[in-house]
Amino acid sequence: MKGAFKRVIAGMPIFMTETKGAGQIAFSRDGVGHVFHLNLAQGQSVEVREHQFLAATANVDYSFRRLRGIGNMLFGGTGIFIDTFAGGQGGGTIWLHGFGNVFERVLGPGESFDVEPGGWVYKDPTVNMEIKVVGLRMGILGGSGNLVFNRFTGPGRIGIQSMYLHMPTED
Amino acid sequence: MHTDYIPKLLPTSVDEGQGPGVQFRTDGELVPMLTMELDGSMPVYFEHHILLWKTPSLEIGMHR
Repeated sequence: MKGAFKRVIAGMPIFMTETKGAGQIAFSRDGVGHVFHLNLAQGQSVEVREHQFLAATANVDYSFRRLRGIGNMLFGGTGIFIDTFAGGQGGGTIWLHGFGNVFERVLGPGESFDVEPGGWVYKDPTVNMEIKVVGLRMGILGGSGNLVFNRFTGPGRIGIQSMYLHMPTED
Repeated sequence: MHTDYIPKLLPTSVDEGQGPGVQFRTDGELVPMLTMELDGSMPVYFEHHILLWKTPSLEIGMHR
């Protein structure tokens, strides 16, 4: 595992733990949602939004980066973590959780798709993500605001969740 | 209505999933439960707060 896994949700430190041996184990998340898996061939990787990860086989490599920017700061405070999982020797499996239901869109080369910033769960590294801000104004004396979304451009997969959340995360 | 642009719903349940050293399934709808059976050849790592239950034969430790 590259780098220390250090994360906090709602003030609670999160530890990356491991189980080994033979037997059964069960997991669930404290939220209404959808549990699904992705198989990663050796050398294949996927980028996952913070707080969506459940588990992975030990031959899956893990790293993360902090993404800052207005589109991800408006709701969450200081940005988000993006986790990257890569299939190791022989390929591995990861399990993820999405709030509501999770859907997948496969983008062709150069094809774009706009998603609410809290709505995406995972994407292939080949999918580029940009932040778009649309200014909204109601006349000279009217109110104003911004509509923020992420624009994803293929090729590759993007997973979206129907119930988007913006959970504040501390470094 | 053109449906090509609409994202496709991923399977909401799995009865006989397979990973390296792991068989798994999902049960439930609103807050689904993911159950794995490890054969001992491959550990699994996870965030500590999602553990629901386990058989005592499995050891738990920090992932490094």
